[in-house]
Amino acid sequence: MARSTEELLKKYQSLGKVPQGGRGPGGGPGGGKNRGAGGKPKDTQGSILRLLRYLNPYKFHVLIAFICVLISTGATLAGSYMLRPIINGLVDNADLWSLALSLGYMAAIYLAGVIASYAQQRLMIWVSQSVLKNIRDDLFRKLQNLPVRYYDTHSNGELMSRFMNDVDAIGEMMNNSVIQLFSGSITLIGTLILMMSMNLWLTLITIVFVPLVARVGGLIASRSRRFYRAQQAALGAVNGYVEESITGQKVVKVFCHEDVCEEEFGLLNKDLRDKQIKAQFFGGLMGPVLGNMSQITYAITACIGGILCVTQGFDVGGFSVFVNYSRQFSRPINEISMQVNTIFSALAGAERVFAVMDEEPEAADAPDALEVPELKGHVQMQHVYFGYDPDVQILKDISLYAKSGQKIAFVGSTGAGKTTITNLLSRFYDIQEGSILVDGHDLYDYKRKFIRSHIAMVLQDTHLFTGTVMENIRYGRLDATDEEIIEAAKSVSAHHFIVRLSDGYQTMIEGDGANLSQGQRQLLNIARAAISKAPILVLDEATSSVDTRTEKQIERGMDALMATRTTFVIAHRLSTVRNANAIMVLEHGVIIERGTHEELLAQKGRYYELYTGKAELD
Amino acid sequence: MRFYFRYIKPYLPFFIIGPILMLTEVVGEVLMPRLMANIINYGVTAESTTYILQTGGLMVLVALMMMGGGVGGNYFAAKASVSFSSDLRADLYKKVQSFSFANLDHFHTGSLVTRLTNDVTQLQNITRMSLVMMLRAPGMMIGAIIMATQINASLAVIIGVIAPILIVIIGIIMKTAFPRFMLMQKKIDALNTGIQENLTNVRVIKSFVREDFEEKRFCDKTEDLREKSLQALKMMVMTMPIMTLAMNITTLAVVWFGGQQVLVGDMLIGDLISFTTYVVQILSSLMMVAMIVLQSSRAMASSKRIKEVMNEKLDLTDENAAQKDKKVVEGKVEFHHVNFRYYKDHAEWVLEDIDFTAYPGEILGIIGSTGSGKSTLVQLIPRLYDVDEGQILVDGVDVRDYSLENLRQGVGMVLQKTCCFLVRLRKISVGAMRKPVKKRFGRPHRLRRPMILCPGLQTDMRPN
Repeated sequence: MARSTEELLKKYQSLGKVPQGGRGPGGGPGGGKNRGAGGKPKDTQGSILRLLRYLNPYKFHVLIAFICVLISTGATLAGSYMLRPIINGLVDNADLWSLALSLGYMAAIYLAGVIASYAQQRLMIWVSQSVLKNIRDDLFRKLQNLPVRYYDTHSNGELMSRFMNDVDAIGEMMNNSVIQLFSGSITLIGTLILMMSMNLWLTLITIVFVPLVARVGGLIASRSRRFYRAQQAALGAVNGYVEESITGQKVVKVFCHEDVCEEEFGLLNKDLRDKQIKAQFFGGLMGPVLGNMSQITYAITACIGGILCVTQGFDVGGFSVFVNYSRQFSRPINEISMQVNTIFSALAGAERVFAVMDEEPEAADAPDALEVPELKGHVQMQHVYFGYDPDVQILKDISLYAKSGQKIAFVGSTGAGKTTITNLLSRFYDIQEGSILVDGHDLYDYKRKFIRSHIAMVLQDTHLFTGTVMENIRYGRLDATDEEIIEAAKSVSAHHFIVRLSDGYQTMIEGDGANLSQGQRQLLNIARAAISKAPILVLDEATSSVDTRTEKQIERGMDALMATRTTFVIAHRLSTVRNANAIMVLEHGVIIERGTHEELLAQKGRYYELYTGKAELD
Repeated sequence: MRFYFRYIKPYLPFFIIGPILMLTEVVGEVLMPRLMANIINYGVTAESTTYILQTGGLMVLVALMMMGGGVGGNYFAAKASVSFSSDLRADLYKKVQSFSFANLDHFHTGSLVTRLTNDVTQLQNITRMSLVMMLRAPGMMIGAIIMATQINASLAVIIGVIAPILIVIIGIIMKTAFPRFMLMQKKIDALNTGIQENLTNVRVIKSFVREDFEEKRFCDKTEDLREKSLQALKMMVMTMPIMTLAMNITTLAVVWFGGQQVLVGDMLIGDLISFTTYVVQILSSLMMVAMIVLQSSRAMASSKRIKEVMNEKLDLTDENAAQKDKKVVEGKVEFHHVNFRYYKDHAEWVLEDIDFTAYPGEILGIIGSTGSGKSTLVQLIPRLYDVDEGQILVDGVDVRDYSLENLRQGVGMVLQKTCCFLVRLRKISVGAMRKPVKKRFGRPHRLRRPMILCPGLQTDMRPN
């Protein structure tokens, strides 16, 4: 019954989201920093330029921050260099006064360094947080302008990951990496210069070790990257499996599937464990290996430096300062290589973020697009053809005429194209042939937002926002008063259950209304449409989870509302559409029958079959 | 800690060897400056190249030993922490599989998923970190303090003065920063929820033309997050400069007082140099301890959430079932004065005095308005919940006397909120049915009405 590990891995890898905490603990340079975002950037230059544009408003802050880095790095180097004359002075029995003076200089240098480093960090967190906010806002703004097709073809998880992982990676780069790269380079160059000025031969010994350190470091890094990737994939699979099976846990239980789940999970878990041990080991290797390699350098320099003191008269102060420098020599190299990884993954993230920003938005309205003072809501479709994929036609030759005050119903089996019609009306998708007229003008001559604001929709999938019940209904018309909202709720029979909620209209709705039943959520959705004054009303399976008695009440309540509107109703349940002015029976994208309830029954066609139970909608 | 011991036990050797190996690295780190001091004191000053060469060779040996210890310690730490968390995760999953519906309702689905993924990873990280750092940070601190005191006890007093002050300051910073970070995390969560909602509700937003409204709301949220992040980070960026400042002050003081001793000949110059190295070691190991504390407070929260799952009492088991081998054959269902409510503290019954018998071959329709308890009623038959009062019999036997597996295999049902799996759920054989129902549920998640379909018929449920 259970599937094999390979099969499971293949299926669930793409499903699982690797959480932020998923990266190795302090994974050391190289490996650990490759977070889930990862990937190599393709257009590095372009991404950098665009990121710089975000930095532009803060260029003075950044400039000062860089100066501060210079000061603090310089102070660190100079401070430790100051020990040389002090030690030499002590060796040569200098007086107390000169010791005090040297220490005074040192204190001043240290203090300047500390202040500069604090100032730099304060500035940079301010800059990076502001830039992050701006990038997030821009990305969000862009998302608001993307066509519905984009959302239908991209998963929410994917877009969420742009917002979270990718923007975070950019933030990390701004916060630390760039500065550390800069200060690391300065430290490296500064140390090298100071070392050479003290003793050329000793410096050469230190430098000889650099390629060795780099080689070993590179080896470990490439290994650890490989294992880390394998670990992330395995972790993704485990998370994906958990997510799926726990979400459907009740179904698992009803069908006694627990044993299979446990077995399959066990396989994935074991696979993760094997890969994780390797990844964690190699990820943590960099620290002890490189750290202790520099200890070896330190030992050798100490040995040779000591001999130089004896034979060449190298000063003791210089010697002790030099040995310290040589021990710390590998640190900036490590730091730089580590930051380069972070920067690359941030740039790859930035590229993905910018790719979303570069997506084609909904086509702009023509400059002379229509906006009429009062829309009545007459809708006319003439020989409309449409397919989501141009090669596969979903709707064929749809023609209809709906006048204000009329109720037009669509019935038909799943996939017949009922919902697609509403997608066209609200211009979520554009038709391929034929035309749609609203009040005699072509739908596409109007401003897009104008036409949408004149259509109120209750969608198939009920979705609510975090906020109070009141706020959720008000979403339909932002300037609606509390009284109007209660009135609307009453008209669609929602008032009754709302007042019974713990805080009535002020009850908080969280997690898409998990605390409400499906029927109650639908009622709120209907109320939201009812409060709107739009002349065209679309009800797409709006009452499918509401019992028939309440449905009748809603209908009565909305009669007054519908009198002045054009209403399109899509329903599975035939009782919902009985009193429509016209019922369209759709099959495979074609209207095969149309007429009133009575007319259709008299025709003894498909509708008759459905109504009398000779055929069933599936 | 006792709770976790059973997961540690199988790997106890790793848990012990790892830190011990790390300790060798610490010993080396503490020895190195001492050896360096010896080179200056006895090699350079005495102009003895052999001594310098000998000590230098020793230093290389020590460094090699450190490398071995570090690599080994790292290996055992990785092995121990990963094995530990892997077993824990497997057990958690097992536990969730044994949960009843009521247990599942107790936790949100999303939170269960987080506990199994994120929280376990958190624990793994902290375990590994403690295995590497547990002895290292305090070991280095103690070792360095011993060395420093040995070199010059009077100078060690300086560290004794500055270290406590530093601890207090860092403690204050962390105490202020921690709640701010919690707040920041909350804002991040709020932002995430906002984005998620926006993505799922895109059609609602577009059809009501609320793009600008949403943008405004979002900008407010990001601004809020920016402010809260700044407040938290503002505290954190203080730690490094303060740390550096403390090190600098200590170094200056050591050189000032130590220098005077060197001048009068009470102290060797090499000792003074190595003393300054110990200052850095002691204060930075202090910092390390602080980091561990900070990390573990996060892990504590995760640990608490994991324990909640593991300690959740199963409220529905078939351990006491009297007829474990009994299978549902006919499908006769009887309700005897059944009362039920989801939460014991609710006054109102969800189902009150339900009493009926459904015979094999009959179709029983249950209707009622939204929220009247239809689904609840049928969920009691396969024992997804237990009745509070009264009794349910299937084939004349109390449902609590069946094994859960036999009972549920005898009662097929389609839930109101269906979900799709990546696999075909296998052909679901469903129970006693009279009217031939043979349809394919093209879109299972659209199916709203629960149907208890009974034996005799195969329904093919193919997720799309």
